[in-house]
Amino acid sequence: MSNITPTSFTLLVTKSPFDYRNAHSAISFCIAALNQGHSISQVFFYQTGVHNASCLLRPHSDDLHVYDKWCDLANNHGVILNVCVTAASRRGILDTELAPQHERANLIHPFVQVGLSWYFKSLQDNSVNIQL
Amino acid sequence: MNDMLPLKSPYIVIQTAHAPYSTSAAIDALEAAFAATNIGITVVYIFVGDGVYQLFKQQQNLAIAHKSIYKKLCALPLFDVELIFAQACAVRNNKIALSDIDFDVSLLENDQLVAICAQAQQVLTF
Repeated sequence: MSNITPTSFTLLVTKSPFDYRNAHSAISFCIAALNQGHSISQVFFYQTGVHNASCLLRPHSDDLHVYDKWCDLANNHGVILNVCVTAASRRGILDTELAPQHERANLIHPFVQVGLSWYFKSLQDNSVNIQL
Repeated sequence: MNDMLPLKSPYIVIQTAHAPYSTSAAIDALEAAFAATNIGITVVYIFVGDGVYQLFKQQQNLAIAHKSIYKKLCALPLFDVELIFAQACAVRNNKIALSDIDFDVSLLENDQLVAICAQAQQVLTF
């Protein structure tokens, strides 16, 4: 394992957490990559993937709590969780700046709303892209 | 445009694979392309599979109260997306006429499509 060259990965998550397995796969990939000494430059949420960022997600108790898993990755491993602001606002995923009232915001730290260009900047830094 | 192949400078490929109005995928692909060229990335934009339906010029978008995808596609060159291709077999199978389209689209046979993707820095599919 020590012979593995550390690689920086960027993940593009494009599917919502309940309807598809993509988010589960992305989380598993992040954990495996970090355990092997690689880094995750950012996870970028686009299309219906922005639903991963809603703090209002309430999965059943026997379902994987995708939102909590993302927060664990951010809080324990420093993984940056960027959300496309355009895709998110179209789908009602709003931070405190965009929500009509602060208390109605459902996109909060550690998720951050950014422009789509942030994702492409990461690719320019030779990060390996994984689209899910 | 096929005489530009193989492409010399680094580029990414954005494949658009869905019909224009059934999902948001067509718009999502377009906006990704605009964001990429906005920071100086060269984008090769390819219509594949059902994505070639976006190239129908006679889209009746008003019938479904939707903005025209075709008109947005016409803006691709204005946003520096000038390498625009369509999968030849999808165009033929769906009987899309490229001759009356208002921007340049070149056909790619499948072996050319593979070659372009193989040389790309990244391939994104929406």
